[in-house]
Amino acid sequence: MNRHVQRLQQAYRELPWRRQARRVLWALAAMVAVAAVLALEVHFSAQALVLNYELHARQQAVLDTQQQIVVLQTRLAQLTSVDHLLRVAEREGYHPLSVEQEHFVPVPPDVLPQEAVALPQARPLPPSRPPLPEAYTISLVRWLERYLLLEPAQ
Amino acid sequence: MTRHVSSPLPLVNEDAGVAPLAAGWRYAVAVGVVLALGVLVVVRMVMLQIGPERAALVSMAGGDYAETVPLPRGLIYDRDGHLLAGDREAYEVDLRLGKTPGEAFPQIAHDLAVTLGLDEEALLRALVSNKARGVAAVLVTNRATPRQREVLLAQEENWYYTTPEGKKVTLSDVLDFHRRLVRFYPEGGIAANVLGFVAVGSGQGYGGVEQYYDALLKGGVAWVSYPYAPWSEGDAQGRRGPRKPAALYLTIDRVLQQQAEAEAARAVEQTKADSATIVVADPYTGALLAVAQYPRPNLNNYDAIQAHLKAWKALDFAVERVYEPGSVFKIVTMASAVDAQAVRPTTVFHDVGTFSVPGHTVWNWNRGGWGDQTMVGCLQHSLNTCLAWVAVDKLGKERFYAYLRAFGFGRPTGVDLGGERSGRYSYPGASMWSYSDFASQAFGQAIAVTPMQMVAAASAIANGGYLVTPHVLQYEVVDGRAYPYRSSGTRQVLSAEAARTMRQMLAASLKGESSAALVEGYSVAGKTGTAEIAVQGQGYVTNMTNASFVGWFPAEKPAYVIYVWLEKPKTSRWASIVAAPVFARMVKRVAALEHVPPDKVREQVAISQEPQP
Repeated sequence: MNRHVQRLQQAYRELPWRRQARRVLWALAAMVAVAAVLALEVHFSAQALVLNYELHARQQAVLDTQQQIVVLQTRLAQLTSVDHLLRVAEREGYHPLSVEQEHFVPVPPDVLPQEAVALPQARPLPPSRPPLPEAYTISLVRWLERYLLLEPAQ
Repeated sequence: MTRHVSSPLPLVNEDAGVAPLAAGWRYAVAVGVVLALGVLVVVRMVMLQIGPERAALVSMAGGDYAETVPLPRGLIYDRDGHLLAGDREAYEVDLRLGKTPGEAFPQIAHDLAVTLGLDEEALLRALVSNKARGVAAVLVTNRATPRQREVLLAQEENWYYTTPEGKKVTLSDVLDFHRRLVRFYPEGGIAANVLGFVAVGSGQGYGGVEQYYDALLKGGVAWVSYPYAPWSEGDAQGRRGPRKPAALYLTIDRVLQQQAEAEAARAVEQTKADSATIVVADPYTGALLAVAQYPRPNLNNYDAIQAHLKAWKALDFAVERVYEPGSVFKIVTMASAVDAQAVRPTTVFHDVGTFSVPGHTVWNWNRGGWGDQTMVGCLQHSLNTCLAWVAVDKLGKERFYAYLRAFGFGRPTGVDLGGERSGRYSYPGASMWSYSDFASQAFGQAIAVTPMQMVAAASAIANGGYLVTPHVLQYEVVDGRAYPYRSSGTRQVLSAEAARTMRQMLAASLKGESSAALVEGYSVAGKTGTAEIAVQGQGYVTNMTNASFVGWFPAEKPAYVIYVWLEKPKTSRWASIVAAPVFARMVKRVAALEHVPPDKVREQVAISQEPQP
């Protein structure tokens, strides 16, 4: 009886369609593995390309803005240049003050108005990058331990 | 019996007695299709990573793995935050010769020359010769303004040429415009010698601050890297290149600078001098408030810069030109002797009008003798014989040259301006040194210095004996952080007592001679200098001099050192006549602009602040 069972088992194990199916499954598994890796790569690359496109566009906008600011600052400085202001002032009837025209009045130091210096309000600086959720920082063992013990997440 | 099957797959196993052949091929086809689809997916994914689609996507995203980001050159401000050097929009204009028929050249050269302010004939010659050589395109200008570009583009109606095919070629068809930022100086010629300039093509700074801080102002091109694959280089934040351009805040005060430049121009006009240089500095820190000169170019006119450099071989006279300072150098000799305790203010020198050293006889400026003179009298009458005696007989060559080295003569001061020269002098041990050099150097001949070296030496006497490094940088700002100027080092060259004594001697000598440098209400100290100029083949000639004055105010608590140098004045050869009044006028201008109270007011304030018994 046992011998017949063994023969049947052996025969079943070595059925051609089973051997063929095994080979096909291995091949499919290998392809799925390769495809999974490649899918990860394609997915990442596609997203990275989109983000890079955004970054490039914004960086160019920043650069253009920086350049425009510099050009405008320069034009403003040209308008307020010393020579220009002097010409305008002289045209309006003003003239530079000479030292003989200045009058200094000695004032005791205790009567001098004290300059009040307002300090800026101290504000906590925003973190340079958002903190990662704890799930991304704890070890797998610790997470498993918590999961099995059903500890509430902290 | 065994039957052999030619199929590569063992689809049939007759031993098992199952799987007939008809069912096997259908199965094989099904499996083949599944496998083919799988392979297709994998191949497609691989192609997406390395194929032309990948290149197209990367190109769409703006470039390859890394990109360089061009950054505007750093700005330069004066001490109050007024912009001295910025940028303006400009266009490089290229003419495509290949598309331009030769018949149109005269009209094109005319229109371009009129609009862009160029030499029409030179432009026409360049077009013809480049066309003959088969050059594809020629650079017309690289500084066209936006307005000039608009004018050129508006000439669309001017038809220049009709091709045999009947196509009309206009000016805008053959011109290429490339936008760029070029350096622009909103103050024009103000502080031109301090700022320097930037070459349009190379972007390299030349002269002044632009040259000295070129690397800081350029900042380097930022290099940014982004990841395109999980394992590619770079990180999510990108990577930066060397550093961003720095904004520089100078110690120069633009109004004081403009006033000093106006005074320099006035001095040249009144004295018919070849040039004038005026430096105003804080003696305690070495901060330069004004470094003025006349003539100087307008930095927005490249041709004017070239012409200036061709004529003068220097952009900034205060650091790039050396000359024999003459009697202003006597303050260095006397300060050295006082510090070494070789003489005191009351030490008497009997002047007979000459002083002899081996191979040379020193004469006074008036070829006369002045009898018994104290050291104050020697400075007051600017006696060459007395200072030669002090150096040769009282100080000795070892100590004299040790003091020259300590004061920094013969090497650059370290001022942060491009092109600084070191000056030179002969010293014991050098091949051409003689006692004649030694005696002459004591009163400022046979030694070449820059005005900046004299400013540094005078500052040391004014500030209590410390040699400070002159500088124009107040602080640099990079990424919103300010980094103050850090001096390369300060060292004591005179004792505080010797410096104080010198200040008193110089104030007394000016008062004693009723100098034109005196200013009502303000105590000043200083020294004139009239140096004859050596001409090749003729030696020292008497009709050409360098007239200078170095001094400070207030005399006892110096706040400002002022240096004046007039080159070859024609109305008078004497510094006391041409340079001293310029110093006095500068004192008045500085006092007015900086709101320095007169001595009487300062004394009243000092008395009121004294503790009451």
